[in-house]
Amino acid sequence: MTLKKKIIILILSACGVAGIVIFSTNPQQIKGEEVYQISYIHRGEIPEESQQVILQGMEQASNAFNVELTAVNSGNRADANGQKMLLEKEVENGADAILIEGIDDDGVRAELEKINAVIPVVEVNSRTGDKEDNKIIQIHADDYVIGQELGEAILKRLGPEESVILIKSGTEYSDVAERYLGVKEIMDASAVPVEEVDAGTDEVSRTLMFTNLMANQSTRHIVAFSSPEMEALGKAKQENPDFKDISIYGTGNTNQIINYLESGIIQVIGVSNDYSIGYLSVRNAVMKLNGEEIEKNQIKYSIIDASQIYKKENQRLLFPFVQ
Amino acid sequence: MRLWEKVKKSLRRRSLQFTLSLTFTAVSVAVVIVVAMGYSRRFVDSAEKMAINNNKNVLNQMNQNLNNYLHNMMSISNTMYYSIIKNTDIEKDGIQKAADQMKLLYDANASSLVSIAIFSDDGKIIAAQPLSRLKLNAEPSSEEWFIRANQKIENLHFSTPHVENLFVNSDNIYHWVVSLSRSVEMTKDGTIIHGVVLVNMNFTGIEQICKNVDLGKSGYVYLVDQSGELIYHPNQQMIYAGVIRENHKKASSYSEGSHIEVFEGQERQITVKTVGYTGWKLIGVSPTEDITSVYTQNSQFLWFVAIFAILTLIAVNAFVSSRVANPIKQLERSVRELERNNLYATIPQNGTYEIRHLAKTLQSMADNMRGLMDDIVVEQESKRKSEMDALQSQINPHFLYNTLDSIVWMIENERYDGAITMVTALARLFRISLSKGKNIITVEQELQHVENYLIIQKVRYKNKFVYEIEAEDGVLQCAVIKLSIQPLVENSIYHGLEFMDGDGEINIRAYQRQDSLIIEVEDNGPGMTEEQVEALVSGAGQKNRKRGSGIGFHNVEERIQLCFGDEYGLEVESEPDEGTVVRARLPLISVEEAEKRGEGRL
Amino acid sequence: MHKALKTLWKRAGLIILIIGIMLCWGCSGKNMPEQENSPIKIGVAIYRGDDAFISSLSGHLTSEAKALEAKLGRKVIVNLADAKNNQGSQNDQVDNFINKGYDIICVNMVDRTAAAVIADKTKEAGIPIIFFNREPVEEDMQIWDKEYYVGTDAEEAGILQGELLVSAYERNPRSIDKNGDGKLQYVMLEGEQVHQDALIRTEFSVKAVLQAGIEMDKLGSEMCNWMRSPSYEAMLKWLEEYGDAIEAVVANNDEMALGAVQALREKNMLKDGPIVLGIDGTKDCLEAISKGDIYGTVKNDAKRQAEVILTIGGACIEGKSPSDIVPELEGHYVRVPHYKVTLVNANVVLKQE
Repeated sequence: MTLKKKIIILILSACGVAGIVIFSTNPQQIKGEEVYQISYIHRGEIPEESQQVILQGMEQASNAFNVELTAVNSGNRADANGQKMLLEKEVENGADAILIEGIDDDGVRAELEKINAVIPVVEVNSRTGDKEDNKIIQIHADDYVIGQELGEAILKRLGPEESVILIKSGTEYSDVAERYLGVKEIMDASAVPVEEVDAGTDEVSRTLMFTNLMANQSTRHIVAFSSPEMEALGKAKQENPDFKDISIYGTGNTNQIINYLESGIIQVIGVSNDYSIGYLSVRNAVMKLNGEEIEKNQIKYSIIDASQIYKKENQRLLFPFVQ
Repeated sequence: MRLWEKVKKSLRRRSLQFTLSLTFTAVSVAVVIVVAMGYSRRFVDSAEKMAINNNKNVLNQMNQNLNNYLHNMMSISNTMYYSIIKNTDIEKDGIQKAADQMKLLYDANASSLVSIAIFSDDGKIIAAQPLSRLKLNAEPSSEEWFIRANQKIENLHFSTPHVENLFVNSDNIYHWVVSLSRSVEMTKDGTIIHGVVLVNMNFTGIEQICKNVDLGKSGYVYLVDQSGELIYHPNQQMIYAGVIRENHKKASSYSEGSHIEVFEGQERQITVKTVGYTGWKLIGVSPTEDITSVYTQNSQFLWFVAIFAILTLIAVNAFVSSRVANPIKQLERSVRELERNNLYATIPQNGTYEIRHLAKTLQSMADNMRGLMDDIVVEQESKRKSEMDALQSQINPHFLYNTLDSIVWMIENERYDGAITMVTALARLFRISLSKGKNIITVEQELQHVENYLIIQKVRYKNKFVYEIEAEDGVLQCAVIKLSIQPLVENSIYHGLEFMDGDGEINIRAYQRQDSLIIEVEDNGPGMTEEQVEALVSGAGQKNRKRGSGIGFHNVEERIQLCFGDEYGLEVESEPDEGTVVRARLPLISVEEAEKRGEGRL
Repeated sequence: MHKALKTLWKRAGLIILIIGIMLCWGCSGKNMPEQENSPIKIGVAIYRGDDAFISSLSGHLTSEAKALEAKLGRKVIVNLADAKNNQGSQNDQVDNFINKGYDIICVNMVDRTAAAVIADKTKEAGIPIIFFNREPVEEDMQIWDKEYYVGTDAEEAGILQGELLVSAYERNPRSIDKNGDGKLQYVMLEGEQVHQDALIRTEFSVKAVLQAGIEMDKLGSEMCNWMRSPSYEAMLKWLEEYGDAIEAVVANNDEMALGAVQALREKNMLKDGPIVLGIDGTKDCLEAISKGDIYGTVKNDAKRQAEVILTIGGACIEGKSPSDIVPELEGHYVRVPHYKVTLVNANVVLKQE
């Protein structure tokens, strides 16, 4: 076969291949509609109502960015080992990115850093350490400041010589811990006596403990830092008219809590824009997957009392448009 | 035109295959490109048009739906006012009837309503459905919808979305609503009092209408009020949180219709439609990229196909033109071989019928030429041979030896005159023999040559014979072939006079008879029989003679005929014991004329 | 030189061919997800998220999914979609599930008369559909063979509720029939306009009481949409109108019973007030029963229903016939049985929640 013929056959076969490629490629596939699998490991068993808002934000972002979101709970007794195992399992199952409310533990941190080298990790709300060379994306409100401002609001309502009870539980998670510390700092700075109470995780015993706490005559102000505890405190107060002078403060954003706030059962709450947190977590994970620059976002928060619930900004914070 | 000339010139220099290939390819490429461009253009135009149209239609539809919805809400408000309130005296009839009617109204529209209520001028609740207990810290009179309703009492007022915060709700459900409020006149115990009727529309009703709109891949619709405040946006929550930005303040100032705006580096097509009565604006956003990406993708696809087609065409063209041109090239190569005088080049017979025919003809032409050239060679060979023969014969060794012997003998015998005569005659003999290579000489010259010959022979043959040479004057300058007479004389001597004892006579005569020149050689030798004459004329005898000059009868006849044609030649008359006459007949022409004639034949 | 060029061309041609084939494979390969290890996706579309019973059922679905995971050895993802009482939204949500290739779809219809659309869509996509709690009409359940309904027998619930009232009356007639006229003056809090459970429960609870020989006198009834606040309002209204003439409050579900309790508490009429009965057995109601605010309720076993839904789903995924695995399955219907809950067993049931 002459050289010329060879060339001709080569060109023809190149054409053939190109033709096959053209006709079998769906034009839409050129755009690369890849679905990302993202796993969200959250604390607690079923997402509590407050978690729902974060989840809703995540779902909106999932729809917008073509993500399939899986929510995985850390189990009732959130322990560091449990979380580590969950992490490994999710990575094994082929997650493209991990969102996690991580327990503030070195082991978990190490695991997250290991995973972050391979797939994007986003810490939602709770952070596992604040090293300088932190490469893991962290989406959270300024929990310490929220704690401080809440503390300020509480101070305003304190009578002379009155003490404050701080319900300390769930502080394995940094957001709870920081808010706690924020309030405590303000209390300490003004020399307000503080009593720390551990509520434990069992619902029944907790209800009992709260009731006992409130029955104590010297109890005037109680501060809790997670929604289930806030609701339990509110319920206990509502059911017993004797408790009506006790003031309840805290952080948490459920409709029940807002109801209590409105009807004067709870006095002040600190709320961060959980919807944003959820949305941004997914969005930033996707952006990192696509290799895009991630901009810093400020998560809004607000300290709200009964009179401020329906202010425009607060409305939007407390009652997310879920679409 | 000059370019065209240049192109033509450069094309002419190129090979056939190149021109063919190039032309085919250029034409097909041009056609493909024109088609692709034309189609692409049309597609782009129609895609754009379709997109713009689609957007308009979608927005119109949405507007229609929204209008209907809002009108529905307004008619609920109207019903409350005109059918319920106007017919009730709050004091006398009591509120229950109104409340029941409101319940009917609410139940019938439960899916779009959150609550409907009537308030007095000072913000006290008169009736409400489905829940009627006001919250402790609810202050209707300081709410915006209340204030605005009283500002312009003839209008219905639509608020921006907010959370309904009026009624005690033990289900802990908080609704986003759009409040429709109006100022009303009520009858209380006969007197007219003022109040406000409130219809809280479920925001999801508006959301339903506005979402899931097909405005291209990433297009969407949002709703703003007159002041540019967002009423609905697919990313409303994130805009409130400051995470996503939208150009709504600016867009609300656009007039109705289509606009192009650039926002955050993205070009988008904006379609604005005003919703009746409320002053709200429906804003459809369609990123230009969506439209262009559709047709970009298709354009890309088209160009891919075009390139593919072009490549294929090039390949096919190259192939076809090579198949056409190759045989011609081969033919051309063969011709080049022929040019190089390689007549043995083989001409391959490939290609189309015409090419094959050409090849065949060329081949036979080459063969012919070869044959002809072979013939020429053969002819030249024989001519050389004859000439060589002639030349050789002219220098017949025997004759020379004998003559030289005779001369030596004469010199030895001091017969110097005789020797001088012989040497001189010999010299003259050879001069005319060679005669500068000419073949045609004058009769005079030939006769002189004959005489010289005879002089020598006479001496050698010791005067055994006598001779006589006669020529008419007119023929002396005529043409005769060199050494045509002398061989005849030689024959006479050898065949005739040799056997005689002294009475030999040779007569040589040259004269003109009719238009021919005749030169005779007569001798009175023994003569020949008829058979011998026959044999001599037909050339059955030997050609090669050892004796004499060796040219012979046939040689002379051949040469005469070769030169002047078959109508001339030799005749023989002979009678045994009487003698022989050999007559040469030649044309009567001058030497120049004969040379001209002879050129063509020799 | 010529030979070397020849082999070069040969190699080049081969490489191009291989690249071409690989490209084609790659393109088509993307369309073929691996079957074996991909997670099972279950879509759950509920009619509204703020319905207490439904939200409890969804919660059980999520937690029971773990058991399914263990059984099938594959990851199970349960995704919830809240239609917020809008059928249009629900249709969109189901479309979404179908488009994303979910393996099982569970639907709690907003409008139970509009099930045909969804059944058709799932038939076309070949995805098994399990309706629950809000029952489509029979014709719509027969559209194709992978349609199931998991719910309860409303008649049974109504009858059990009636029996509760009967047994309370028979134990101490005077405490129930306060005015001693031998008739039970009652108010009825009804669920929703078109809901099958509301109609049937209402009818059969009254029937059960009548069948026991006790006469009933209806003072009022109101459609309260299964919600607490409307019931609270209605109860307040009735209390204003009838005061303590009301002897029994019969509610189609616990939330409405709790709304009535709220009104009673406000008017301080809980202690010696009417007997309040509900259906569902929600946590709040069980607590109210322990406190004595509500007399009794009929347990609507959300957990068991969730289990059944997932079992049927799992069977379909494994290609088995659900009737082999789910004993309660009758044709395509599963009606999880009820049981009564009163002070006696309220705590036990509460612990199970």
